[in-house]
Amino acid sequence: MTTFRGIDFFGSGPHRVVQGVREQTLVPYWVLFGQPYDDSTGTESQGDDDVVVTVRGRLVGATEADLWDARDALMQEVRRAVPARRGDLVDADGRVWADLVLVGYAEHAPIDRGRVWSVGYTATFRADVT
Amino acid sequence: MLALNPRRVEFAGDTWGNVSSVAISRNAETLIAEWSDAGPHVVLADVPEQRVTVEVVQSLLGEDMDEPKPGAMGTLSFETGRSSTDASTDTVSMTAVVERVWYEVSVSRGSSRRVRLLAVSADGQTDPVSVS
Repeated sequence: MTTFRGIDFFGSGPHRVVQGVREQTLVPYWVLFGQPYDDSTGTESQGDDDVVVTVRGRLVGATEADLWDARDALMQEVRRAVPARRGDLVDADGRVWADLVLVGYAEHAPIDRGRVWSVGYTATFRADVT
Repeated sequence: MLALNPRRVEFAGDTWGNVSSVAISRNAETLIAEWSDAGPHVVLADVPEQRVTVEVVQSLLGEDMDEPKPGAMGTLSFETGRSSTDASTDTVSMTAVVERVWYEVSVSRGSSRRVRLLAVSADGQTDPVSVS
């Protein structure tokens, strides 16, 4: 079970956790020191970019109300004040990403109404959000 | 669903004679298949969009100059029974739109007209095909 702040936001349906790009921010010397000149080639590292982790999956409900409950929980989490919503994301294998904030929730398409009610989504978490 | 030699086939008020078969096919227009982080197999499958098509085959004894036109909409109905003397029959009906009309001509099998229709639900939730 994948949890965030100990809450099971994603358990209504299948989902997968994706580690985002880890890289450093590189700035060209000519940007730092002005107009380009012959010996201004090269870049300077400005440090690590923020950790980005996404959860991609499908929220599922037996009824429309069940699906709305799962959607509302995520959308309310996005709107919460930052200090209160910083927490650990723990995937099904126990891997922990510490001190993340849920900064985005996006649905991929309209709700699908088949045997069950469902919608595909991507939830985006970032570290170092103040 | 397959009906062989159905009786009293009507579409939009017109009677279609010498119908040898009516085949109703159901296909997934959209198939949801989802995997989890636990392994290689699908853990959720669903069909939120499906298409019900009907193919009517009529034997032709001569020329056919009054074929249904694609886009024509009406009620398609026919009766089925175990035999022509069977008193217990089912009536199958649906609202449908003509999708395609074509012919097959064979020296050995004779000529036939085939009409493919797309069944339409009244509200998107109710099965477009009713049996009474």
